[in-house]
Amino acid sequence: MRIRIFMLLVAFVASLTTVLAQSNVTTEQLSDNVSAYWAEQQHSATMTQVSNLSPDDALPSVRFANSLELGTAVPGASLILLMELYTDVDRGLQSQSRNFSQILHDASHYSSAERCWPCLSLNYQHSVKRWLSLGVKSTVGWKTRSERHVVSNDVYRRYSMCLASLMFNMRFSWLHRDYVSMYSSLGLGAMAHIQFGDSWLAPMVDAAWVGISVGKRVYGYAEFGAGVGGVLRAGVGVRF
Amino acid sequence: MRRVYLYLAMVLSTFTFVSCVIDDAESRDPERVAQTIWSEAHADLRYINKMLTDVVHFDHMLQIEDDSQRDKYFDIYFGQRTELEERGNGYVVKRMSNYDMPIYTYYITNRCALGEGEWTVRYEGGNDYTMTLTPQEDGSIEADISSLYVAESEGSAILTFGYLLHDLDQVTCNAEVELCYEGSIELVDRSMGESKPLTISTRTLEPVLFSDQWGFKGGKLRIECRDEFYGSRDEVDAEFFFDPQRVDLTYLGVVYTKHAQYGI
Repeated sequence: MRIRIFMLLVAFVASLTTVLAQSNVTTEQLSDNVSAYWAEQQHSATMTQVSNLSPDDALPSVRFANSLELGTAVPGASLILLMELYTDVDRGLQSQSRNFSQILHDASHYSSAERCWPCLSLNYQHSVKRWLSLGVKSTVGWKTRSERHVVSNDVYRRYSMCLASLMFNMRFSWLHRDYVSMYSSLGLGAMAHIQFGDSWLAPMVDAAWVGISVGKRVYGYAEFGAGVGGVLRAGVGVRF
Repeated sequence: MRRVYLYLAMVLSTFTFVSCVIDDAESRDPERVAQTIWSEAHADLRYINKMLTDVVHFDHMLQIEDDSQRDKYFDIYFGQRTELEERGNGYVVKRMSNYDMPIYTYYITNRCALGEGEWTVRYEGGNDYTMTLTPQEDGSIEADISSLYVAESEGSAILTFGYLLHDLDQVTCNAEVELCYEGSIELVDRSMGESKPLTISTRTLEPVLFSDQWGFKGGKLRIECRDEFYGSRDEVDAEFFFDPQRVDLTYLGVVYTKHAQYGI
């Protein structure tokens, strides 16, 4: 019930912000979205010079209203805690009485190293104002471990757990330069914990306290944040 | 576009660094497989060894003419809470369990000594078995165990054995039975399901020498373990040595030595 209320709240905030932002876009002139650099160019150059200026060089952020980012992250404590909720169901039964067949099977198999990919993210942002962009962010993290034969090393069984989240994301840009942009963002949504026999859904928050992107059409970014997206994030994005 | 590929390659390569090992792999220890199979087969063998040595002790007891010496021998080898009764073509040994339940062992000797005629031994005490002992032309005895229950397994065994009995102490009636046997034992464990049994087949590659004082002293066994539930098949060779007493377990060509502190 609490999840439903949370989801409704997220949907409400998302729709409200979108409507407000859309109204701004329709009422504002395009010239309002031109960066400080572009304004400087306008004042210092003649109209002829301006017409010769390549739009790619002069308007890095205005020309591209959409962006798509692919990234990875170092997990924070909360994400590690969520990852540790993974339980190896079969191994948990070892304490119970086991017959010879099971004892022999345990002796002839070993657990390989438990490998974890804590957080990969895919983020779509649509710029509705110079300082605000809205979008959808999805993250996925998983870990896996396999049971292998002690001699042949063949995989007998693989245990996996996945944490996936989908969030409505608001990004607030507070510094604009030609190649550099700095921002903060907040995401609200839900996270699914998927594991055979033990899956659940929970509300989730993600925040990037400080983020920096470097580049124009294709750019790299790095963020410091908290939540399901990890603490230190980095990746690449493309504006279109 | 080339830049996009370069950026993607950079990001994808970082996935390797971002992934991390959060729990190390367990050690790969094939010796554990050999030890596990051996310990199970050893329990079966111990049970069968006891069956055979009991028969030899029983035969030896019947040969003792002095009544008091015979009673003493009986008490030593068959326990204090045991009664011997002559019935029909043989004897009944009645033993009271710890829960005061009677356990019967029927020795149908046909009024002849072991090795001179056919004996049938039937044990009724939970893990029932029936063993037919038939003398062979070369002087050995064939033990055909048709219904054998050991722990959760049931099966059969055919063993041909010879024996020596060393009287160690005439006063205390201590004696040592030394068996030399060969043959095969097959036990099926159905605890994982009727259609998915686990079968342990043990056959002798070299005649096994066993003493009820010292345990296994020589010989070689091949133990095959087939588990239908997990679809596995493992084979372990066990070779016994006496000085120093040990068993060498060979699994997939690697030999693991297990020294015995108090006999094997």
